Amino acid sequence: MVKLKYILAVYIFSFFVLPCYAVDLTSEVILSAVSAKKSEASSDISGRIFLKLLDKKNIVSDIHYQYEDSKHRLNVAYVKFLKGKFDLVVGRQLMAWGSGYNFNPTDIFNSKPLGAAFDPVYYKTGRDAVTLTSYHFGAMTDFVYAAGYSIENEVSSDITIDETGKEDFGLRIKKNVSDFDIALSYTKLGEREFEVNGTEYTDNDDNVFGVSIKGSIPKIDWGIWLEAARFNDQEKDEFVTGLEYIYDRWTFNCEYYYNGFGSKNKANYDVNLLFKGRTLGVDYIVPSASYLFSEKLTITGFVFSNLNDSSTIIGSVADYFYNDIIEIAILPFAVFGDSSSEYGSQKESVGDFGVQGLIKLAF
Amino acid sequence: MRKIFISFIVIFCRTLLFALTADEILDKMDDVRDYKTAKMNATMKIINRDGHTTSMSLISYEKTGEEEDMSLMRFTEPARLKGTAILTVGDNIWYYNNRTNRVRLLSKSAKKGSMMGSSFSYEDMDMNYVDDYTAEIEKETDKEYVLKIIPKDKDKTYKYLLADVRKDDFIATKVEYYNKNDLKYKELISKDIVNIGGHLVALFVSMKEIGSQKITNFEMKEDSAEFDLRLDDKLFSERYLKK
Repeated sequence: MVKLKYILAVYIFSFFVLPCYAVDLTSEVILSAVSAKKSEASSDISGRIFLKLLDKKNIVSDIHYQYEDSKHRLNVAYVKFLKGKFDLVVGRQLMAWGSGYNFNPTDIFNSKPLGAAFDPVYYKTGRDAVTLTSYHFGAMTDFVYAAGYSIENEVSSDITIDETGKEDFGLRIKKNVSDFDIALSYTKLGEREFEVNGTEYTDNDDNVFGVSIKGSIPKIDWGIWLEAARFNDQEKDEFVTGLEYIYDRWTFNCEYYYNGFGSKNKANYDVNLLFKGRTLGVDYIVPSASYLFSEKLTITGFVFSNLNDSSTIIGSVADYFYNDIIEIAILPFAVFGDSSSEYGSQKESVGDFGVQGLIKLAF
Repeated sequence: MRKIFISFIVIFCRTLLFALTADEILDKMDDVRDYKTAKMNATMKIINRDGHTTSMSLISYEKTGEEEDMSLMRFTEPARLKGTAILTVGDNIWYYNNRTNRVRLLSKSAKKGSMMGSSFSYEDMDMNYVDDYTAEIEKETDKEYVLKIIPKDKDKTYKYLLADVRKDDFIATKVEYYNKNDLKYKELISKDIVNIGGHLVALFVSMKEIGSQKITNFEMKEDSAEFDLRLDDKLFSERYLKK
C-alpha cells in the first residue's frame, strides 16, 4: 500500500504539476513479478521520472528520480555546460565506457549487473562526478572525478550487501579511426569495502589500464569488438570480445568473457567475488539471437555459460509493445549445472527454472 | 508533302538530340534533392496487416558532407523512445539510449536491417543515385519515365529498383524493390509534393512490404521542414548524439 502511494504520487506529479512548467517529462511505472520453482512468487512496483529541466544550446540539465526496491533515489541530477571544444558535467550522472555488450571491464564508475543487456527495463545507476570532456584533433577526451559513494543492495531476504567506495579518477581518449571506435583509458580505482551480513571485505585501490575497440570486419560487415582492462596492482586482467551480425530481422551476437579474478577450478571459487559484482569462473561464453517479429514484438534467446564448470543459464525475453504506453515482457529462464557450480548452485534457492513478468507504462 | 516530311525529320532529330539518357535522368533525380542541409520534424507510422498503428515522432538533421553524408535523428514520441537517437556518418551508424548513456557503434550489417521495426532499412534512407547506381529506361510515356535502377554494390538487399519518374520535375513517385529472384518485395510511394524554399519535397512517403503487408508512412507538415540552414559538421558527432 505504501509503495502504491508513492507510485500514485509519481503519476499525479507527472500529469498535473510538472506540465505547468512546460518541462520535458517522461514517467515510467514498472510492475514486475518473479516466480521460480523453489522460491515464492514475489512482485514489486517501481517508478521513474525523467525530467529535462534545461535544453539550451550551451547548457543542459537532467533530473531522474527513481523509486525502486522500496527506496527513493535521485539517480541523475546534473548540469552540463557546452562551451567551444569543452563539455563540463557536474552532478550525479551516468557514465558508460566500453564496447562490450554483456560485460564492460573498463566501465568501472557505475558498472552494470549480469544480464542487464537483456533486461528491457534496465537503467544504469548514477554516480556523483565531475566530467570534463575535450574535443580536439578529432578525439574525445574525458577527465573524470567520481566521488566516494555508499549503497545498500538487498540481494535476497537474508542477504544484504553494503558497498562503500572511495573516489575514483579516470581518463579516456576515444576516436574513430578507419571506421573503428577506439578508446584508451586509465582509472585510478579507489578502495572498495563490502559488508555482507556483518562480514567485511576490502578491495584495495588499483590502477586500471583499459582499451576498447568496436567496428566491423571489412567485406563481411560482421560487427567485432574487444574491451580489456588490466588491474595493474592486483596483476589481474579482464577482457571481452564478441561478434555480431544483423540480417533482415535477425540479430546474432556472441561474446567471450575472460575473468582474471576467477578460478578455473570450482573447488577454488571465491564466493566473495559475487558480492563485488564479479563472476566466479574464468571463461564464459554468451551467445544470443534476437528476432524482430514486428515493430511491436521482439523475441530474444540467450545463454550464459561458465565454460569452466559447465553451468549454464538459458533465458529468453519476449518484449511486446501493446501500445505507445504499455510494454509487456516475459522472461523465462532455466538453470543447468551441478550444485557446486556457479549457476547450478542457484538451483538450491531458486530451482531449475522460473519466469519473470514485467509491465512497463511510459508516458 | 515535302514540307511535312522535312518537319517530321526536324522534330525527330530534335527529339533524338534532346532525349535524356537513363544516367542523365538519374542526375536530375539527384539534383531534385540538391539541398546541402535539412531539418525536418516527421512522424513515422507503422501499420500492420491488422490495421494496428504504431507512431513515432522524430526530428531529423541531414547534411551532405564533402566526403560523407550525415544524419542525426532524435526520437521525441512516444515516451518510451524519448532519449533515443541515431547518428549516421557514411556507412557508420551509432545508437544512443539515455537510460544507459551508452553510445553503441552498430555493425555495418545493421544498415540492411529494419530501422526501428519499420519497413525502411537504414540503407533505404541513404540513396545517392549518381554515385551508387546505374540505370536503364524501361518505358517512357508522355508524363513519366520508368527507370530500372541497378545498384553498383551487388551486396545490397535488392537486385534492382523500378522507378516511375515524372518528366516535369524528376520526382520518383513510385519505386518498386526487386530481390535476387526478381520478385517485388517492397514498394515506395511519394505523394503531396510541395516546393519548400526552392526544393521539391514529398510530405507523404509510404513503404509497403509485399509479404507482410506492413506499411510504414513518413509524414511531414509543410512548415516543419527547413533546407540549406547552417548546420555545423560538429552536430553529427557523439557529443551532440548524447546531448
